[in-house]
Amino acid sequence: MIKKILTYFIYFVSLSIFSQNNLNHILKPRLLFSNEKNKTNLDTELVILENDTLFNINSNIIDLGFLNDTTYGKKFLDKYNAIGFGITGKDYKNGFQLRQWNTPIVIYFDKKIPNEVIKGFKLFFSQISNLEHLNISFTSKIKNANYYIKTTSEEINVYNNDFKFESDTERKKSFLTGATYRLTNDSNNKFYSGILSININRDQTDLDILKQLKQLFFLSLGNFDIGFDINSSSLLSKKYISSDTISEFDYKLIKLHYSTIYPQIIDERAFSKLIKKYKTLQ
Amino acid sequence: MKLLFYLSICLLSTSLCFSQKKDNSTYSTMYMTVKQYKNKYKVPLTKKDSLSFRVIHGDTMVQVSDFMRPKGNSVPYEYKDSTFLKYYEKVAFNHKKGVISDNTVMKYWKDDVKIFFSKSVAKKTKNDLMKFAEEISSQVDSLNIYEVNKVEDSNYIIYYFGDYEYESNLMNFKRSSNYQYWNGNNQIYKSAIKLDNEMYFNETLRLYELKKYFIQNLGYFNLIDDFKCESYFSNCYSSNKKLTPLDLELIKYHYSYGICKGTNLKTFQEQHQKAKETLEETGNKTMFFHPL
Repeated sequence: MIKKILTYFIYFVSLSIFSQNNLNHILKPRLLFSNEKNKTNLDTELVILENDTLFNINSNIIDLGFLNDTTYGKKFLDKYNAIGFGITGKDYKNGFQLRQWNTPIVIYFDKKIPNEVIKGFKLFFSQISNLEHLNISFTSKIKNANYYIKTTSEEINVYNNDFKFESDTERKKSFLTGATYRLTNDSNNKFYSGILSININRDQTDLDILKQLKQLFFLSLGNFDIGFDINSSSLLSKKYISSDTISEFDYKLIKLHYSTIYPQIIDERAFSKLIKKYKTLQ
Repeated sequence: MKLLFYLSICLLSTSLCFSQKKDNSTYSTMYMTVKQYKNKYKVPLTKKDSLSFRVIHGDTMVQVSDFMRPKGNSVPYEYKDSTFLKYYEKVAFNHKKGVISDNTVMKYWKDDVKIFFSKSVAKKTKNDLMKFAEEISSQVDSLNIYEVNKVEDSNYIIYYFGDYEYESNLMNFKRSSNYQYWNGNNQIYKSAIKLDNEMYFNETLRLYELKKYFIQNLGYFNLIDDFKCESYFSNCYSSNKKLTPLDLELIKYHYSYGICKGTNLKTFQEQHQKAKETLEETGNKTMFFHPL
């Protein structure tokens, strides 16, 4: 009996080591070398210097448990692949890659943004403040911010001149008319600062401004791809009908997107491999 | 001891560390293999030459009495383990478009780095960057960095969008960027950083960007995906960047006298292979020659 238990134990240990190796193959781990020596890093890579030895102190464990969520069915994942990885009409070499913030987002509002808008914005995004790897907070000091929501009197037109709208009202009401954002990212497709500029001199009500800010900010959380036939309850829909509550689809999408911060650039193929890998572990 | 002498001289003849500068040179006697002699002088050996032949490790060595040797210093090869060298090569040999090539060359500052800041750069940001520079230069031999007040005294300019366009090659850039110049010996002699101070809207963001470019400009370095984001040589953002022991060791090694500077990847690897073999076979360290 003991022999049997031991055999199973060895089998599972080897399986888990093997699985970890395979995972490392999909997402190369990042190492942090230090002269701290401890039991956990003795078997990892070492750098031997003349008078010292450096040990890797990063454990590199990526938890794929989030893929266990049964609500992420095939239909949903197909949509996520399109929105999160931007597979529409982009050069494959540069597109198809997931983008995330890898630092807490600290928002500073321009003084010209109406208080009611700020209040509504804070309340709305408090609904996703419990996500493990997405932290959104607000500051009254610009020196502490990394996300600046500012007003401008400049005309902002994201669409090309030849873009045809069904009507002038549609053009005016588009959330990409009169507002835009710019994000800075590292070479690992992770964002770390941004500016959202909005022209509020366009005869808009506070609700119009709030709706536009909500949509653009949500978009900037992953520079998500839009242009899909998506329910009008989603912030990513061009026909979004504003609501105080975040839609179930948007919540699921942002939750999946920030289930983990990927240590390397991850494209749609690597993501599919992770899903397959996870299934083999079950 | 004799063996060490001969081996050092042989390596000296092939080393790329050697450069021809008449004003700094002295004549000396050295030995080289027959093959090396023929390749270098393109003339047949004479009877007179054969009188001074020596056989070392089965190779016939020819004495060259009018060998022109520049003024400089010979220093012993600095041994490093293969893991360290793997990361050093990734950082120091910044390949074009990321395509690995034997011909990629490492670059370094030979002269002091003299930084001029435009008036737009806030005093605190300037001071914090210079503290960071001091933290590095105080621990790295042959790398001196300091601030200068006049642009004409500088070889490194840091300025913002909307300032005078100090670097013409960055004039039309719509995003923050840096530019470096190097000479034929791969010695960096001029650098500039132009920052979009509107995009980086506070001093914390500006300082982060300046440090990022500053580290890269110390040797036209590449930021890599092997290290965790806390490392300055990592290609990902962290609000908690710190100079890790390995970061510092990489810069120290780049500016160490124990390696040959300005070489391409192939030469670097071959030299280390040779030096390592010599060390293992004879227990003696190969000498690297650095002209003044």
